[in-house]
Amino acid sequence: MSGAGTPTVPLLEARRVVKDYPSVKVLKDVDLSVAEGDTLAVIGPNGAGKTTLFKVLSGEVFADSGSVLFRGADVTRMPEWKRVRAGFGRSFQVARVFKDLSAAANVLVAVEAAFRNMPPGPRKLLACDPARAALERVDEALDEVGLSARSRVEAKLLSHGDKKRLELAMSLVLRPTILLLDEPTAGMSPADRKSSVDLIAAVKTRHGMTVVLTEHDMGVVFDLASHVAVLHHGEMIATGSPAEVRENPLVRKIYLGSGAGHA
Amino acid sequence: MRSPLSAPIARDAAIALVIVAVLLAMPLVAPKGLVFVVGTLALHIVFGLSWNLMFGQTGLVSFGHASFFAIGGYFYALVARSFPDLHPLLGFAGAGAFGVVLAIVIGLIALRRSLGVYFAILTLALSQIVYLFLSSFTPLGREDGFTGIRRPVLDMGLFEIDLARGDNYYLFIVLFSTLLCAVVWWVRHSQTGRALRAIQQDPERAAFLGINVAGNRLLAFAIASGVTAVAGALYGPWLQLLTPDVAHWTLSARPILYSLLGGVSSFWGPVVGAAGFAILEYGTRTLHGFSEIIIGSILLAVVLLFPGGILGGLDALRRRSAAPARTAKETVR
Repeated sequence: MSGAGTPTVPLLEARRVVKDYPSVKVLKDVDLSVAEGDTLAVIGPNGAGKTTLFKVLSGEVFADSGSVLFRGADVTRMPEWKRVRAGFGRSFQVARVFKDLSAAANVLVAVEAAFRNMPPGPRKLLACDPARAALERVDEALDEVGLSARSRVEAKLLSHGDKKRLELAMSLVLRPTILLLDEPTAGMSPADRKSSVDLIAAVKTRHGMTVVLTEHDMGVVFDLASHVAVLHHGEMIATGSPAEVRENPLVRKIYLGSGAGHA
Repeated sequence: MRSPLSAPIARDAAIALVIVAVLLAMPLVAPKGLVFVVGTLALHIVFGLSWNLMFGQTGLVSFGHASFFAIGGYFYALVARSFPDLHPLLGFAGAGAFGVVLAIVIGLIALRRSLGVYFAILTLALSQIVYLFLSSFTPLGREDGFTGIRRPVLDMGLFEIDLARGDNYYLFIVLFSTLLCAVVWWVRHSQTGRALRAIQQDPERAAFLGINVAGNRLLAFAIASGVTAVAGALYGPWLQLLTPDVAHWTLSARPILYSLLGGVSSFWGPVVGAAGFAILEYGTRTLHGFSEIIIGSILLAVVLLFPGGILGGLDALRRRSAAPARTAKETVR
């Protein structure tokens, strides 16, 4: 990894983050720390504030108080597109793709956005046709997520699972340092879920990324995560390795014991 | 390497070539009245295309596009009168640059927080301000209009072209409009155009790819306004008169109607729409009182029957006849 800095500085850190919406206090002094190379799963019952925490981490909304640090630098009020250029990637709970564009065109937009900071070689500002290097990257990314055969299909016609794959491909071409996945397997069949987990694990290893995900399915969590953080009513009640969290009596009581999932 | 993601440059250039050839031949066969209509149509095509660069491509609805047409027109007229020795091409370019600068200033305020209907209302308010200003500012002729705008002589170094002579100014308008349309085509099909299209589809998603959404929206607004300002600048000498009516909201409605009639999702939509509109207007010009009713009814029918406009409707028909052989359609336009 470039610019690794001192190893003690977490890659991504939230400090005493507070986020209120008019009627509810969603996040109450949430602390979170993600080290480079980790796969952190944020779990918690519905309404615990997982998605809001995700929005705060990715820059979709800003924290009311507290701070978000990336490689030790304050990014609390940095807009999302600048965070992406700094190394963030993100997917949405319900996959968001450019529905009227083909799968390949979706990825091309991402590739060209990623090439923006590069020297004029791979990007072509004055020419209309996409650069060859960009097209190769598009093919590569579609291949990586298994969508090559559907590259010319309009994104809105893709299945739910394929949209998620397409979204992953769009994030991957950005070569993010940290990838934020909001419920990557939500609404999937068990088979799709399994292949998604395998895919995420594979791309994480291949690209050496740090991953933060929220997830309902405990099977997915314990398959993927190196660390787990448990959010409950906007408070972080436990963090640690999957085994530690699983044995935490408080977590067992309010979450795992409630029948929401099996370990 | 041709890819499905490549721009359809050969096809579009061929279409453009045919259209331009027909327009250039018009004065040889058509009566003067019709030539005037077609010259105005060429400028209105630019007007419609530049509006749709904001709407169809970027997702911005402006109800005040005519104000930039008017600003460009009056800017050129004033500059040409004040500095008679200035090269007319510099005057036209200056009008475009003025439109761009003004759009950036306005866009920095208007686009900052307001989108959708708020942006539409803000641009409508802007056009009313421009209209009232032009109607009451004496140096620009107030309601009588800016009169005596001359068709200039183009000094081309080795030779001169007197645009006041014969059909020269008509030919000049056709060629200059083609150039402006080419600018819009190029923006649309460039990397920037693809980013704009992404913003139109889902701004949030685009932002999470590292695209500066606000900056690109401002860019689209500035380009569209600059292109329209040049078209407005060309319009003054064409009429040899500009009245505040060029800033009226009814003119701002024109590019919207062109785009809806022709189809907002294709480059050619506003071209087809503007041409269709001109044909309807020309065909019903003697039916006093009925003209608006007929045009209005046809517009309503097209928009209700073909939500994608004429080109969108044709596309749907073609797809239906080609199905199921080609169900998945490539859509990088």
